Amino acid sequence: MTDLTGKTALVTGGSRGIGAAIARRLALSGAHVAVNYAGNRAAAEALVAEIAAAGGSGFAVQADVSTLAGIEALFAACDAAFGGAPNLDILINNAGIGRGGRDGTLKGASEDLFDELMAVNVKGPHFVTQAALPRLRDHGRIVNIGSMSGKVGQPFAASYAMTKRAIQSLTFSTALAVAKRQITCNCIAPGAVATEFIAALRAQPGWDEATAKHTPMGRIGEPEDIAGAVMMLVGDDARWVTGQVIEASGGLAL
Amino acid sequence: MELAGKTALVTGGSRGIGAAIARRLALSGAHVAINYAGNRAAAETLAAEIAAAGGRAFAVQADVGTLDGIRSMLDACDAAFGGAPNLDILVNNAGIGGEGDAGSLTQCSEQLFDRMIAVNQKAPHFITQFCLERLRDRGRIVNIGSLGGRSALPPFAAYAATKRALQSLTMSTAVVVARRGITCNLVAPGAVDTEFNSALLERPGWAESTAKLTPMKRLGVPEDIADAVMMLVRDEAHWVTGQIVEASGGLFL
Repeated sequence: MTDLTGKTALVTGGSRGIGAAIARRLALSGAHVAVNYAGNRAAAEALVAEIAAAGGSGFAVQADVSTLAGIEALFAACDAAFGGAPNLDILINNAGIGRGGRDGTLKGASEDLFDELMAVNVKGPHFVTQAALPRLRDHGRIVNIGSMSGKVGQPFAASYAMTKRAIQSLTFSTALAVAKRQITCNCIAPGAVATEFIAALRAQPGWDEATAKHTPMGRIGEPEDIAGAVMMLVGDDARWVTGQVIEASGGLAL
Repeated sequence: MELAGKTALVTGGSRGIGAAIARRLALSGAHVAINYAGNRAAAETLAAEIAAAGGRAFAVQADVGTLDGIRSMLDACDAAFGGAPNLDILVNNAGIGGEGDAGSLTQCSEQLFDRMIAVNQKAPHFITQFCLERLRDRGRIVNIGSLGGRSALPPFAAYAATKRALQSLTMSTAVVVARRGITCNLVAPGAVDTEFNSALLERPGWAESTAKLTPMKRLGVPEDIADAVMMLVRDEAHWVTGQIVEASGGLFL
């Protein structure tokens, strides 16, 4: 089992869904975890309280990671909790948005939707990583959360899918930038996961059943499945694995 | 012990990367069958080393390049592990390259080509086929590929082709076994300091220039690859299947 005692971690978008499962898993493995959230303070604080009740250590940090001002505020709070740089062992770029019920098709997507997706899903991880570079300790870990949408065509969510292909590219470049310090950077690409993020899809009659049937392992993913895949990459055993895009999807779209 | 009560088979497990994998699995609690083709002394030394460290392992001679060899290997496993299903972890590691330039696109003989196909492709295909009924639910299959399966390696063209084929087998196997909660993934090593690469390692400056070319600034060691395999064998990797995972320190990114 991977023991993260004494390590620090930052999970962006960590209050709900996949991010919350990752934050919980890292904290319960011993890490001191910064749980970033954009708007849902109650969810973030409930998670931190749950972690504390289980004997772990975490704190909630409000910040909009789609702006540099937000990212500066996020790291100021982390520095206050973790001490002087280098002070970070694990960075999880998880925060991301979908089309939020709007028209995300190639044909219909608005400029506003496109710009918002790029700001949160691409600009966010790019500048969070940039800000984290001087803070990361040698042998650190960066895990970017991508999507199977970065692999397969998504005409109904074309711009979202572009952002998830872009984070693959960021993963490769970051891996090369940090390799000499024995820091790894990899991307986990989830398939369909039962979270609020895909509530609109799941509201369609028969969607869950059809997706489970389509998934070789015969079910929809759970946030804990993705957290497990992240855990796999943060331990010492994964030290020689870097720049990889690893699908955690139960075999979907192989 | 994370793998206590589990059984494992590592083909080509007596030396190099295979030996490191067998050692890691055994020292994590698994009962390990160490297959070897020719180096009995190395296989038995490793089994003895594992036993001395409190682990359980045994050596099994078999040429996995033939179906007869595969059958005799699995007979020996069944004798040790009991009736099927009796296997938790299968590591298709056995592989051969060519000596010097013998495997290059310009030099490769038909005989060497066919032998590489037999050991590097036919063996994992039929070992996997024969192990399907032996594998327990939630088992793990890890195929050992190579960065040559992705990037151009003209001096090792046929070898690289077999490693590309192994990627394909990995994806098909993943789909076949998924319903049983079994995963199948491939670990693709970069340059690793083993006897397998001795011809390259003997070239003046090769080790230094390859280390320099590798973003993490060193050659891989067998333990790097064994630990990447361990990462995929754990329960937490249960949702990751059909993946090609390079363990290369960032080489050729």
